[in-house]
Amino acid sequence: MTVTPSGLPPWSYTAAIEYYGGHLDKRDYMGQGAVNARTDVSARQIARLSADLSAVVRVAPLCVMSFTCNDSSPAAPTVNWIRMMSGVLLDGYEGDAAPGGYPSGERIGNGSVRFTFPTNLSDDFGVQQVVDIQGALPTSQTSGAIAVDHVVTDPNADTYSERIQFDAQDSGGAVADASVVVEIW
Amino acid sequence: MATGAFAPLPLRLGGSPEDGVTAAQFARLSNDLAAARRVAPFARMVIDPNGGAPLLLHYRGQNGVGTADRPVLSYASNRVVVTFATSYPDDLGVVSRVNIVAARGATSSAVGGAAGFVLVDDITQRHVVRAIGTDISGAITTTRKFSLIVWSR
Repeated sequence: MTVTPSGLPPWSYTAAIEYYGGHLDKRDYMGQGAVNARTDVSARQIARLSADLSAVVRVAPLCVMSFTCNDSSPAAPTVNWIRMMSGVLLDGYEGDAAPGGYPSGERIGNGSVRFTFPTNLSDDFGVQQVVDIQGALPTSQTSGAIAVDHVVTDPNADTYSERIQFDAQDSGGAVADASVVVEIW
Repeated sequence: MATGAFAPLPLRLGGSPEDGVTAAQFARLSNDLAAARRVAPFARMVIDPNGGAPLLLHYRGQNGVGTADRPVLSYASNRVVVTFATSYPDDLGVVSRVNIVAARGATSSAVGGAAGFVLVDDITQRHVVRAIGTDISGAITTTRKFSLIVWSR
């Protein structure tokens, strides 16, 4: 029978030490500490592990991705590579052919694209958690003084934001065929 | 059988919240650690182009934080060239190749200073990254420090 992990998937950003076996009063069984550091995992070590992991999970991005706008021959953006808390793809994909569990991409205009994430994502144990994007830090990979703006929206009005739009611009306006790397959280 | 002093690893799961680690907790731990590792960068660093004689001011990587873990910096064609070793061992001695797929940077000005951009060239060599800071107009500058984050496959 598949075990159900404690707590919620990491993109809930609710990680707490109790999720990982931590406890403010963690103690070794019957008060006996670790005897052999090579074979024993002590209460203090579990406490440290749980605290550090919850800290890491809090600051981890939901997604890191690289995409390229397709404007010369208008088409959906190309996702060059993507890493998500819920999974990793070694190969890219076209925005209008997103694999299950990965964001789909649409072309809005020159240098302007938007990605829509699934309403829910599942962790490796099948536990689902809503996607609720809060922010992003995009950076242009195209040479030149290009700024990339981003806007987060809630397309289905469920109070959770699953969509994010990017607009690549320089002093002259929209930048066609821009490439962008972005962290999304 | 008790864990800890009375029984070596593998750690027996179960027990109370105060003196045990349950299967559910360990499952969450393993899942979330895998998730965090998936999106974790390979390295974060702070670079000072220093007029063409670049300095690595700060480095923290998955491969380590010591002197031997740091990449080598050079300067060529108006870019700081960050050269990693082709592979690194982890803390247990298991060696894995470096396969840089992307990098991004942000300028680091003095308090109250003007922001700029960081250019990163297309990464064609798996263990080399080329980057430089610019001002807001895009003009390259060798005096603007920048932070750099690198991801490896």
